Amino acid sequence: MRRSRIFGLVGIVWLALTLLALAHATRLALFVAPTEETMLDVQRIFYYHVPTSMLSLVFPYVNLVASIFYLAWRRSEPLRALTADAVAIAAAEVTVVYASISLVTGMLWGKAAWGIWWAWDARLTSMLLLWLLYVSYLMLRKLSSPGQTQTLAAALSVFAAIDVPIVFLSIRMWRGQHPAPVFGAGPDSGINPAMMPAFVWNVLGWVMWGVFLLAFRYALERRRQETEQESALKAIEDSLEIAQ
Amino acid sequence: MNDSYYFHRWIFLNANRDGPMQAHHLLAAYAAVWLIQGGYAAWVVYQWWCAGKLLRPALSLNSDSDEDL
Repeated sequence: MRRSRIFGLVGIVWLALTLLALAHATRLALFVAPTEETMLDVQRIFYYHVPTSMLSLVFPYVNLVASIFYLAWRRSEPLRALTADAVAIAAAEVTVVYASISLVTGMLWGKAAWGIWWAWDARLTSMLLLWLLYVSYLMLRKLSSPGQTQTLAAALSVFAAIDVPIVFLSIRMWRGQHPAPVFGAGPDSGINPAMMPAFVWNVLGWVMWGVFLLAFRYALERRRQETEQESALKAIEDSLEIAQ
Repeated sequence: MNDSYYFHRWIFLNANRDGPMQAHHLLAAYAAVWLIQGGYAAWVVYQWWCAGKLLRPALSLNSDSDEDL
């Protein structure tokens, strides 16, 4: 059996399991988890907002590692460097998707809970900056002239990743409108144990979905690279025929 | 006021804690998540299909590039 067919089958099974996990997670979040006393039903945004926000701080590191490998391999092993570049662009796009969700769900929750859509506090501002950095990364790749695009994008990725620890530490170092960390912030942190299954299933579901998107986008980029290589080879062959 | 005004107000503008808007903000947030994720996934599927159309003639010329396990 061809390798691409095996990957296709694994992808379909993975997608089916992911959608089942997400359906179960959504059911738990909306209908099974207890209603929070202060915010009532709007607190259920938590089950989507927190896992997607967590993942929007993980995928930039996938982009960073792939970009470092690209920079290391671009001269010595150009074919492997292309593989790393495909991972980097896939991770950057998935980062933008997850960061967009984090911002949108956060604003909707903020409007309901605080009465305002936005506050320029450290967490919200650093998260917006993260989103802007990865949108800039994608725009650079799309709009710059060919030749140095991948190298420039990889260098930008190294600087963009610096914002990730700032986003993570912002609610630990500075007090603002955004609440303190729910987990790992002392004896009073954490959630009601009855809320945990909904939270854990949502983390699992969104991780699986993120991995699926990353793999699918990577495969698309490899397919594009293959097409470009074929076109370049054909152009060389055509030019040789004309020369003869 | 037309229907779109009320729809917009229903989804976004009323943050009254005791009113029904609690559920509406929740609905908007969950819908936004699926809209963004689904929209991106649909875009990748479309690009995959477009890239496949470009790749097919090239592959037929080089059938030995298929990798058999």
